[in-house]
Amino acid sequence: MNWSPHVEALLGAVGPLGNREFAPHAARWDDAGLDAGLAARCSEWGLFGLSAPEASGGAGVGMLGTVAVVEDIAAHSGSLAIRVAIHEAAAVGLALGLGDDELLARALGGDGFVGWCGASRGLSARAESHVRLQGAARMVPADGDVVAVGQGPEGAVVGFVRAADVGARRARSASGLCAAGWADLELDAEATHAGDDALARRLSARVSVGVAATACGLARAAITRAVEYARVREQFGQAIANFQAIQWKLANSATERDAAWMLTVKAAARLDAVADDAADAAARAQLAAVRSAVAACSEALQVHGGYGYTREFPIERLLRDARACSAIDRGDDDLRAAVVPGIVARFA
Amino acid sequence: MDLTLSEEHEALVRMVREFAVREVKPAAAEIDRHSRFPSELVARMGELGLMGIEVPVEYGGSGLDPIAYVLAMEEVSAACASTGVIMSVNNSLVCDPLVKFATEAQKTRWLEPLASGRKLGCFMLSEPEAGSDAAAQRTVAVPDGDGWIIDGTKNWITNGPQADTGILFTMTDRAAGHRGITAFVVDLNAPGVTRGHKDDKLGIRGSHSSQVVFEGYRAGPEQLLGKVGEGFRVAMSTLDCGRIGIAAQALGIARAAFETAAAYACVRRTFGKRVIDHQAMGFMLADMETELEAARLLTLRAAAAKMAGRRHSRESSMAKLYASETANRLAKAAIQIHGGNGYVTEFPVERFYRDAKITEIYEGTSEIQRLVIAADLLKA
Ligand SMILES: Cc1cc2nc3c(=O)[nH]c(=O)nc-3n(C[C@H](O)[C@H](O)[C@H](O)COP(=O)(O)OP(=O)(O)OC[C@H]3O[C@@H](n4cnc5c(N)ncnc54)[C@H](O)[C@@H]3O)c2cc1C
Repeated sequence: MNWSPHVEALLGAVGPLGNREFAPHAARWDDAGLDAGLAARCSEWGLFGLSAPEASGGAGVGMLGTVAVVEDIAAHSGSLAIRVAIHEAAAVGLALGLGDDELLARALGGDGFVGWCGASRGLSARAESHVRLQGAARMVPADGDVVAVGQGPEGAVVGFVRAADVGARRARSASGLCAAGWADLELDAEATHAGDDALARRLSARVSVGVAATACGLARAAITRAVEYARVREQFGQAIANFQAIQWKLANSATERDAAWMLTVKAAARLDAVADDAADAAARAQLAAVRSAVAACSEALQVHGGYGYTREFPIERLLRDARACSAIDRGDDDLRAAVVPGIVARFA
Repeated sequence: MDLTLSEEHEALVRMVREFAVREVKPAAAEIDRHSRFPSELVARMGELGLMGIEVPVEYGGSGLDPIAYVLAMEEVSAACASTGVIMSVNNSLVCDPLVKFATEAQKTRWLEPLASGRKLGCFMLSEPEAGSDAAAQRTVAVPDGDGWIIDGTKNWITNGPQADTGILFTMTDRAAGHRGITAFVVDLNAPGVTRGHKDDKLGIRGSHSSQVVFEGYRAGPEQLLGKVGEGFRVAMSTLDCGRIGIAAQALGIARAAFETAAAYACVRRTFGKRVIDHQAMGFMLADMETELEAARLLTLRAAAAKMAGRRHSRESSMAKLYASETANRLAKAAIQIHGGNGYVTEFPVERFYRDAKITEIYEGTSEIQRLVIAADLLKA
């Protein structure tokens, strides 16, 4: 894979964080939630504002660089990756879309991870002089400030709501991406910043590629583990890697994962190019990436046999995290429904 | 990573699409029905520079890159997969190893006529008893004076009935196993060569394959391709590139299946709605487009890896595996979306289904691709 020198340099800087800062804590975060202050450290490490221009304090690598970094984090901790991805997609995306420096500064600052209530069908929006978001959102990654999409009379509206204004919030325990801060929200608040339908769709597409990149990282981690395990585990007097039943799982998982990764990279590039087909490309990427991650993690568990089922190995967590990716923002069928109109438009 | 096409690539796509839509597509059903080798289209591809896309201009080729080859293969194969494979064999299985392994004199003699489309090439590796296990060659080349005498039978040779020139693999030292294989470039109109009847096949019926039999065929020393004992390396490195071509052929078939099905689903009505408006059908098309796009990107990735001069066995095998299986899934789904019309020859999708199957078999079956990918993943 050939990245631009700029993205290469960023990956070179972020790469070492994986083993040093993320991997040792991933299991604990999964049990107990992300450490307080982790958002601040992410900000220090330069993980916020990846897609923002360098002139405004960002990394200037666009969504292309963002997916590269998120994929890398996800190989160590899915929960952290999804928070970084959503923060970048929603909070930084909203600030960039509105050209709002104050909001961008807040997003880059590391006060906390900004959450996302996206395709929720429960939120409505009213715009008089200010945008007011009202209604309920279920099981969304949202434990601080949130970016929420509400349905208004003239299409969707996207707004930024400060944590203090969010109102009733009930934390939910999830089975995957456990540290992502899942909650049910009852919103009835003025948005401090708001954007229109087009921006709402763009942010949703950014979230999709973020979820896709997370899924691709989880899949890669599972495949790497399965390869390592297959080499050393012996049965019937030989490494199980010698059996075609094992080799096939590895080859299929790696091929499907790479296919999904290419779709993810392409969708990120289309977003950076502000192309008309970016939203469809993002939906396809999320669809393929989540499917391939669930399959790869499930096959990796099978390669590990009974050990894969225990918490001694990270495979069961990877599988739970991958499965949870399909619950973020849009499920498989929402994604399929999103791309059908594009097909009709081209072929009818 | 740059996934956008250059202007040169865009221009090539426009040119090849125009040719494919105007000249190839209208002939495809008839070519298939009569198992007719499309000589007129092969001649046109020669004129358009499609028979030696990556061959340097000084040897009669178009001097383009592997991405251009993929794009052109997709366009031609979307119109007619038979025509696509005739093109692909000449390009990646014949011209490519000549560019890579031939001496200057060999390039002048053999490459120029092939790349310009004046002559047609074939690739002779498989034998009745050596398919997936290509190292089990029984064709022998025995030293004779300064040259060689060759005896043996090659099987399923695409372009076999028509080809003028071939890349031939032989065993020169059985005890050395795959290190005993030696490649030659041969004139198929010379004495000592006979060709069998064309194979009667499920699909790609316009592409003819046959046995090619060598009896006392004499090859001079100037026909040796690469070094003695280096033939297996020539074959495998050729297939690493050839698989990109077959991936692109599969991509073309998959695209044709998707586009035909999408268009049909937008006009056919049942229960008062367009077929695409039934969720099961719309979602099927959404999945088809997703897989199609993924197949294209994996194929372009393999081409980009070749262009960068990196080893690309894994990328090529992934592209070929994924694209060929996608072509099969999509062709099958396209029939489903057409209902009964999908099953009859008035509509093209049953042809896509028959044509798609071969892409999972030649240039390494899907099983062989999985072995290559797994071995690469598992290598320490
Ligand atoms: C239309 C057509 C055109 C062709 N054109 C050419 C050409 O131009 N030049 C040329 O040289 N060849 C050509 N071939 C031959 C083609 O490449 C072979 O058919 C192919 O490589 C498979 O070999 P085989 O048919 O002998 O199958 P076999 O090798 O006998 O395989 C039978 C089955 O066993 C599986 N299998 C074999 N070994 C393994 C293993 N180790 N692990 C798991 N599964 C395994 C295979 O995948 C397959 O499913 C062509 C074939 C066809 C049908």
